[in-house]
Amino acid sequence: MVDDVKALGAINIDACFNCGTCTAVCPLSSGSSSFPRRMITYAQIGVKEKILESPDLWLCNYCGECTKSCPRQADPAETMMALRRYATIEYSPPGVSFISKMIYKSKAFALSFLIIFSIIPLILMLSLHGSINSTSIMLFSFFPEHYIDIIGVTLGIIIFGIMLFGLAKMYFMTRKGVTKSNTGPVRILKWIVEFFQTIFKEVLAQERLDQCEMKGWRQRLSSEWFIHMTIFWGFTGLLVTTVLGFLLPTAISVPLANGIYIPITEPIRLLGTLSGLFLIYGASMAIINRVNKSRVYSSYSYFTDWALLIFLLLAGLTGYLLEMAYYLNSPLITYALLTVHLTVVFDLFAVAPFTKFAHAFYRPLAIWLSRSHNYI
Amino acid sequence: MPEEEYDALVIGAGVAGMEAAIDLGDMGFKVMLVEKEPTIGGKMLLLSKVFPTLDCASCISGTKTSTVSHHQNIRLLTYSNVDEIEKSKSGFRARIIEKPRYVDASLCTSCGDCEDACPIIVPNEFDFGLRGRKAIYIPFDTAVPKSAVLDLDNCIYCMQCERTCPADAIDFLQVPKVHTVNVKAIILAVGFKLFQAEKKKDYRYGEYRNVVNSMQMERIVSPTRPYNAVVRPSDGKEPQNIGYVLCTGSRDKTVGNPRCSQVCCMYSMKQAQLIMGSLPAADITLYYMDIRAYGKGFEEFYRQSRDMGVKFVRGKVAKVEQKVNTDLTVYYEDTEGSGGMKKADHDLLVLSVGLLPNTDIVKAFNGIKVELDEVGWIKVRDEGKSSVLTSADGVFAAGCTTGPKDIPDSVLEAGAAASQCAAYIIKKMGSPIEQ
Repeated sequence: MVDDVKALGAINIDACFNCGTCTAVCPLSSGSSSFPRRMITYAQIGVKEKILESPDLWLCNYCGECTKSCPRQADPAETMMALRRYATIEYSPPGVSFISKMIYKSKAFALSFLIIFSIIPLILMLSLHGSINSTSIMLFSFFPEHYIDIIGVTLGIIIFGIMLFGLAKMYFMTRKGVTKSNTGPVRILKWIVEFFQTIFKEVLAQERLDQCEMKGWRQRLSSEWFIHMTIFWGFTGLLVTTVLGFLLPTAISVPLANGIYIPITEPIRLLGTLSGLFLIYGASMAIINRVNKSRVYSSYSYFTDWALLIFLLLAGLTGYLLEMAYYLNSPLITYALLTVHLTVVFDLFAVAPFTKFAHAFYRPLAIWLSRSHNYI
Repeated sequence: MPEEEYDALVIGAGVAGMEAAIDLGDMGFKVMLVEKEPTIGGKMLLLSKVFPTLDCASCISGTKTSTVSHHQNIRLLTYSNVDEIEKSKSGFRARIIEKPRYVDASLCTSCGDCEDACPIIVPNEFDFGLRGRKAIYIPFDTAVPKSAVLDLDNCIYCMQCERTCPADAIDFLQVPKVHTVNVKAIILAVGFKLFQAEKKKDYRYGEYRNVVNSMQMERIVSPTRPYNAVVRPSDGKEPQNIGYVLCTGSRDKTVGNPRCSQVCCMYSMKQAQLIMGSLPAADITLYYMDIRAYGKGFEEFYRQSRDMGVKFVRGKVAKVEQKVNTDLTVYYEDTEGSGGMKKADHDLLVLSVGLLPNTDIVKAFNGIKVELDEVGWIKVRDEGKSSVLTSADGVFAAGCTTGPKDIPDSVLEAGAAASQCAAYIIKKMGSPIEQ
């Protein structure tokens, strides 16, 4: 197992001599939730179950304090990240976990995987597109909206199925783990209350990530918390925009199909525009940090880290260009951009189970279980 | 000045250098012993007791300091730096610069009147800043040579000492003296540097007054201690709950020293036992990563410490915070048992600092290659053959010159270096006994 984890990023795992400095400097480690040293020990001696049964991996937000103070420079923060990659693979259904493993093992495989998933939507677009009206923009007569809906919903169901499998596996394993170190009985009420607490405090406000860093508004604007919040809210906003467009055809789809002009102040359009702005800021800041390796968490980047960020940025950028072309009234460019935009969005979702995106499901579940079982 | 002739040059008059010089001198070789400090004895003379026997350190080294200063075959130069060493016909020619003491040591009776007259007080080196000294001072009571020395950097030229001195020993007009010596062989006994605890920023040494290093603690527990009582620096309170942070500056890549310093485990336990003698009610906790009690009687000493009630906690202290009453809170993970992040309060925290190379001397070698190892200690030519041979022919090493060592090992190596050096000289020049 050590070799598997090393292949996922924990190259210095053997250097650790278990002094516990990492755990003691960690701003999030407390009480029965004690990491990263314990996780590293488990990995060193190869007790896979202990790692998969513990929510600790997902309670770490990679602030990098441990790596800065490690006397052996064993890089505990990156080891935790590697173990998260390992857990993502292990929780996934068999076929998916095989593909995930291959992606980490071979760059060529990762690249061809990406190309295949980019060609599929392109072929779909090119073979299914409708009439090209070059005088006025008829977006949804160029590519009928129900195709988008069918492809989108199908893809969504597949992705959701994969994630549900992983979540279920994680739920049952982790529940066993937290029950073992449980300090009291679990009440059904707490179970429900903590679910909403998790949603509001952790998913929407991400309080734990904020605990990782120093305070002060100036630092906050470039903090991991702010960058992550903009990505999260940008992404969520765009998701809501899309779903609203799907549910309320009269607002977007009908006018688009018939070439009727939609003002930028239209509420759903406005939400999309603002969310896009957030997403572009967050994704580009995160990419800049990774390119500069300016923080501990950004010093190592794997294909899966890049894939998610780049697709997020591309989705935001092409969306904006599309909007610009639309308001500048140049039909052919708009059609081309729509093709690119939809391809990127398809890719973003299609590769989600293999990229870092998985944390959006696993992390809240881990926090919820930990909170409701008095683990943190 | 005419060139002086000696058989061997011993650089550094700590316990290893003194031992090597005495051994060579007893064999009949003429030895020049050079020390850069104004007094000899090195680090051992500063210690209270030695492990694992708890013998008095200054009683052992005191006999050596007086032997060295009175030995007919040893010429002692204190307050002197070896400036340059080059190859010569007989072996090596060394240029040694003797710094001015501004006191004529042959006239000084060490009465201490100049100290009383001097108006300047600065932190002293002997007690690692725990006590003060004057700008003109006799370093400590058992100093050899026992002569005052004037620290011109802190002097305000008030001339009070010159007016007071009954022996007329003070001479502001002294200039550095250059000695050129021809020797057949050299023994390096330059010892070590203490890790500067300020560099490990998380422990706040130098910022929190109750965080002291182990050498300061050594002074606090020694019979000649600064306050004549075991008290903590911030407010003079008798500490009742003392923490020791082992491996400060050792086995720590973040401060650039990946190696074990070999002595910290044992001296920390020794200090813990000594504290229990002075403060029987005190709680003492040692935060360790691994206890390395590898020598003769060491394991027994470790068990004895445990049996005496010293608490051993396996975990490295990650950070230190000061409370309002200047007590300290340490954060660590107890890596034995249930684990998890823990906090503990101590009213005094001792950083068991490691040993670092002190090998600036290699810069003095001109045209002679004395190699260093990857950490910066003097490299041993062939570890399997002999631990006192350096990469240069005729240059030997003893004690902590080649790596951290305890006192018995240093003395052992000094003896080995002296006999290897003697063999080298005889092989080259013929026996001094025959001559």
